[in-house]
Amino acid sequence: MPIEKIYVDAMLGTFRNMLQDCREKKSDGESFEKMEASMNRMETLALEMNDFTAYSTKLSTEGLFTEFSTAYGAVLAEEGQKKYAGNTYNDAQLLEQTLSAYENSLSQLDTNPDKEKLQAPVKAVLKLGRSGINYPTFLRLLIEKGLDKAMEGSVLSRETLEKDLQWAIDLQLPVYIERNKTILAKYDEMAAVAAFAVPDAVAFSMERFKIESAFQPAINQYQAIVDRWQKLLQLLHDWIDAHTSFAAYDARYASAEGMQATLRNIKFYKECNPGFFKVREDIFTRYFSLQWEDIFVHESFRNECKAKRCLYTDAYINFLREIYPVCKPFTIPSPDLISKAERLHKENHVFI
Amino acid sequence: MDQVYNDYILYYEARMKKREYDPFYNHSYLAEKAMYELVASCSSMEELQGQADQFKTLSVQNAVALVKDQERFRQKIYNDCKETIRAKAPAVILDQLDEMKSDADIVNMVNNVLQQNNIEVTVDQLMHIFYSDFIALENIEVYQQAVVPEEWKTKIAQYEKDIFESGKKIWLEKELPEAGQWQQGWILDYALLKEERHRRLIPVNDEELEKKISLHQKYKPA
Repeated sequence: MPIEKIYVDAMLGTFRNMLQDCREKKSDGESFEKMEASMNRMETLALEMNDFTAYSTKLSTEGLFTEFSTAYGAVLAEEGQKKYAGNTYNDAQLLEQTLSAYENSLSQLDTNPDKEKLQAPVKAVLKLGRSGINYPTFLRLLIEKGLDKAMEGSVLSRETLEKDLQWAIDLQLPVYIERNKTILAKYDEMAAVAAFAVPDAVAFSMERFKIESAFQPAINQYQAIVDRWQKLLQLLHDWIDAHTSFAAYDARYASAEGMQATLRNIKFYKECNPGFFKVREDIFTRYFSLQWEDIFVHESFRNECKAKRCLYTDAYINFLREIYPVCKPFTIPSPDLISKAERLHKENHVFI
Repeated sequence: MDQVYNDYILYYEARMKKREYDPFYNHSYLAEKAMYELVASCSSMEELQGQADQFKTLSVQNAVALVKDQERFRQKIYNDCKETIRAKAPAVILDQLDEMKSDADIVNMVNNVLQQNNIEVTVDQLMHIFYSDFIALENIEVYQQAVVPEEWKTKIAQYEKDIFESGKKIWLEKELPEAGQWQQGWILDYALLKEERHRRLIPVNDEELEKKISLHQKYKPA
């Protein structure tokens, strides 16, 4: 069975339109034939294959998108050459063609959410072009006024970086905050020495790549630590609650097979969680050289609590620290600890 | 000299000056300078048109210089980051660049190299499967090592077996076939995990990494 039409249409729609556009313009030649051949191959594969992921991968590994796009670019370039071949130099005509292209681009930005900011430099370009200057002066002033850079979308770059930083601040993600601050500082540093205060797009994107690469290990480590202490807290929580009077009615232990199965689940949690906890505690120490009590002074813990991503209240965390020494294989918590667990549960002091 | 031609000289001068003190674009500066000198050496559009061949040659050299500057910077950053797979693309582009005869040649070559490199990067990133399996590997460790009453040992042994079986199923029925679509005969080459670009993303010490590799070889057998 071929790939479903809805997926193929979504994937190839733009390419089909480009090809159709060239056909209507009566394009021909080697590049146009390459476009057709790439398109035919993409359409044929869609009929021959039945797995969308495999199909999508095949288009990439055969380089069909690149082949088509490169050929399309060549067709457009050939058309331009044909159109202006043999024409004598006409300054006013060249300026008008360029300004018309910018005017068209204005309407294309109409639906962009950043329409006003993106259209502003294009409008400035048009104003400059319509100011009565000739074509070479227009081209020179584009460079000297930095309008060529502004039209690369750089007007949005710093704002986007500020938004990225604010996102990390709002979510209280310390490594991301540090990383995004470093990226913004790099942008400002490059802008300070760049012509027209706009960093070179390629140089900045690579500097950004370098910063992101440098911070990714710390991001991974932070999350790895958080994931593991969260699991330790959860194991203790489930263990102590398995001993309470409400355990039989708690969804964590409930079985669809009835109360007998539920009671067996509760027994499993009571008797196995201490063993599970000890292995995970050992993993935590082996990975990060951190002990149980280190969790509560660790930056990740303080930060996750502050950001309200640690599920438990301070009172309940203290309670889990109290039961930690008792949670060992083949031990049971004291009646006092069980009563305390029930009280904290009843008074809604477990979760934040 | 007519005013429009004089304005073209000023335009090419502006292009040259834009790159003049930018160490990042030193090849581009020299190419723009050559272009400016050619335009400035003529006194009219007609005279410049008489040197159309040289103008075209310089235009291509200008494009070559721009790509050269940008790819050298990419290469430096990728090398600094020990991104050896990504660094292959600028290396190949820089190697072939001077042979290019037209803008279209440059575009074709760069697109083809980047397209091929994107595949190599995707294949390299298939190694991320290993770290994403850490949770399952830890669950296996828990079920293998936990001290529990005798009555539960069969149950947790079954849990352990289930993890191995589901891991093997996903591996053989999904992950390996899909990886093979990117690179025929792909295998998870554990030696790559010790290369800086992969190693730094796995936040455990070398001893733990070795243990995990050993367990993973059983979890997702070749």
